[in-house]
Amino acid sequence: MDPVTSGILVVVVLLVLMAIGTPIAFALGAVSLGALFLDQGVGELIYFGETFFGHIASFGFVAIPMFILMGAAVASSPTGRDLYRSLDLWMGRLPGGLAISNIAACSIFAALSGSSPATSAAIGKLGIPEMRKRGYPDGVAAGCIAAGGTLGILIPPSVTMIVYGISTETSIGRLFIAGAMPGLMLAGLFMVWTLIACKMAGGYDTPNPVVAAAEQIKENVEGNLKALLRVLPFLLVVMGILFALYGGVATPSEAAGVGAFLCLVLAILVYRMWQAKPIGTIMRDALRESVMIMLIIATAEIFAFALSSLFITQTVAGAIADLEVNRWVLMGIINLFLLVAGFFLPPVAVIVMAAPILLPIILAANFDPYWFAVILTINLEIGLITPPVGLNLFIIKGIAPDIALRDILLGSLPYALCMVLGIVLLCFFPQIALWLPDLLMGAGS
Amino acid sequence: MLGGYIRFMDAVSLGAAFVAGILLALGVLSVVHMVFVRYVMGESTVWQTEFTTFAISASMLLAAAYTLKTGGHVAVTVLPDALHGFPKRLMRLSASLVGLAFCLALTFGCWYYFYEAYAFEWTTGTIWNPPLWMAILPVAVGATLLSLQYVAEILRAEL
Repeated sequence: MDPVTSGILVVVVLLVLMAIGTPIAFALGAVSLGALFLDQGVGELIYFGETFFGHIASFGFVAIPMFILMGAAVASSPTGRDLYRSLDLWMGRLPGGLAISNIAACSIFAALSGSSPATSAAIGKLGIPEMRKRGYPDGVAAGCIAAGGTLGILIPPSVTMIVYGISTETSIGRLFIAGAMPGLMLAGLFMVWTLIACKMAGGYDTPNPVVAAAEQIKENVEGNLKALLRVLPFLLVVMGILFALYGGVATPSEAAGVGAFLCLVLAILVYRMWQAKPIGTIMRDALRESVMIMLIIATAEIFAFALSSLFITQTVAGAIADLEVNRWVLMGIINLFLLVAGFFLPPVAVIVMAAPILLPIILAANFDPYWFAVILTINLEIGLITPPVGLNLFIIKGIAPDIALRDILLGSLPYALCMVLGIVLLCFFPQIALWLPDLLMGAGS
Repeated sequence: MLGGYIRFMDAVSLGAAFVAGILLALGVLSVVHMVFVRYVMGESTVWQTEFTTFAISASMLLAAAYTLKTGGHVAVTVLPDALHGFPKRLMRLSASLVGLAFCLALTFGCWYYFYEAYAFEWTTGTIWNPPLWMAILPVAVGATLLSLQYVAEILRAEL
C-alpha cells in the first residue's frame, strides 16, 4: 500500500474510532497496532510489549505525574480560597476590581496547579457566586473564569508544555519561560474585555462603595493578610522550580519531584491535611489524571512510530514542503487545523499526535519551535472554552448550574476572540514569547 | 455470578490503585533522595533514577483499571451522547470492544516481554543493574487488570 492510501486509511479509522467514543488512548493504540500488523505481520504483536514498555518507562516522563501530583496537592487544599481573599484585599476596590482580581487569581493559580480545569474549578467556586452577588452579568462572571482557567496550560509550570517538550525534544525550561509573557498578555486582554463588557452591560451596582469598602476593611484585612501568608510558601516553591529549570540546575523530573514533595508537605503543614482522607483524595486525583495522560502519550508514541514505519509522516512533511506556499499561509493553515482539533480533543492528545509531525514543517519554514509551542497552546486553550467538548464550560456549568449554558457560551466567546487576537499579536510580535527566554537563557540555545 | 465478577474486579482494581498510590509516593521520595544526595551531599547516585522510572511506570499501569472504572480515560462522546436507543448501545459496545482488543494485545505483549526478560535473565545494563523482569511484572499485571476491568465494564453496561 502506498503511503498516501495508508495514511488516509489510518486517519479515517482513527477518527471513526474516536467518534464512536473509544477512549483516545485505546483508539490510538488500536489503530497503530492494526497499521503495524498490516505492515509487518503478526511478529509486531510479539514486540509490542517491549515497544510500549520502552515508551512508558522513561525518566523524562516521570515529570508528568509529579507535576500533576503537585497541582493536585494545591487544588485539593484551600489555597484557591486564600489566594482569592488575598487578591481581593489589593484589587477588590478598583472599578471592575472583582472581575479583574478573579482573572489575576486564575493566572496565579494556573502557575500553582498547571491545569486548566483545576484553575476554573478552584477560583470559580468562590468567584462566580461573589461576582453575581455584586451584580456582574452572568455571562461575564462565567466567561472570565472559564477563560482565566485556560491560562493553566500556558503560564508555567504547565503539564502540556512538558508534553510538548518531550514529544519534540525541546528544552522544557525554555518552553516554560516562553509561556510566561504570552500568559500575562492574555490575562491583560481578558481584563480589558471584562471592563468593556461590564460597561456595555450598564455597569454593576455596588450598594454604596464607601460604606461597603469601609466594612470590608474592618472585617477582612487581618484575615486576608493571613490568607496571603498561607499562599506565599506555595508561590515560593513554584518560583524555585522555575528558577531551577531556567538556570539549568535541575532536570524537569527532579524539579517536579521536589516540587510535588514540597507542595504535599506544605498542604499538610499549612492546611493540616494530614488525615488519610484528604491525602487519599490528592493521590486519587493525581493518579487518575496521570494515568489518562501517560497512556495517551505512550500510545501516541506508538502511533508516531507506526506512521513513520509506513512513511506517512515523511510523505506528509515532504508534500507540505513541496507546496512552496508563503510561510504565513502555512502558519494560517496549521492554526486552523489546531483550532479544529482543539474543538474536539483534549490539549495533551493534540500535542502528542500533531507536534512530532508539525515540528519539522515549522522548522523548515523557519519558525521558532518555542514560539510555535505558545501558538499551539493558545489554539488548544480556545478549544477548552468552545463547544462541543470545552472542558472549562462544563466545569463552570457544574459550579453554577443555574446559569444557562447559552449564557456561559456567549459570555466565553469574546474571550476566545481575545485569544485569537493574542495569536495575531504573537505572529506580528514573536518577541512577546521569545524575549524572556532569550534574555534569561541566551538566544537560540 | 456476573454481578459477583464485576464487584470482585472493582475491589481488585481499587486495591491495585492503592498500591499504585504508594508507588507514586515512593517515586517522589526517591527523586527527593536523589536530589539531596546529588546536590546537597555532592555524591553520585546509583539506583534512584531507575527506581523512580520503574515505580512510576508500574504505578501508571496498576492504576489504569481503576481509572477505567471511574471513567477517567478521556473519550470524545459528543456523537454517542446525541444518539438514543439501539444505535447508542451499538456504538458504545463497539467502542468498548475496540478498547478491549487493544488492552488484550497489550496484555499479551507485556507478558511475552516479561517471559523473555525472565527466561534470558536480562538486566537493565546500568550500574545498579536490576533484573528487567521486576520492572515489567507490575506493568504486565496492570495491563491484565485493565483487560479484566474492561470486561467488567462491558458487562456492567450491557446487563
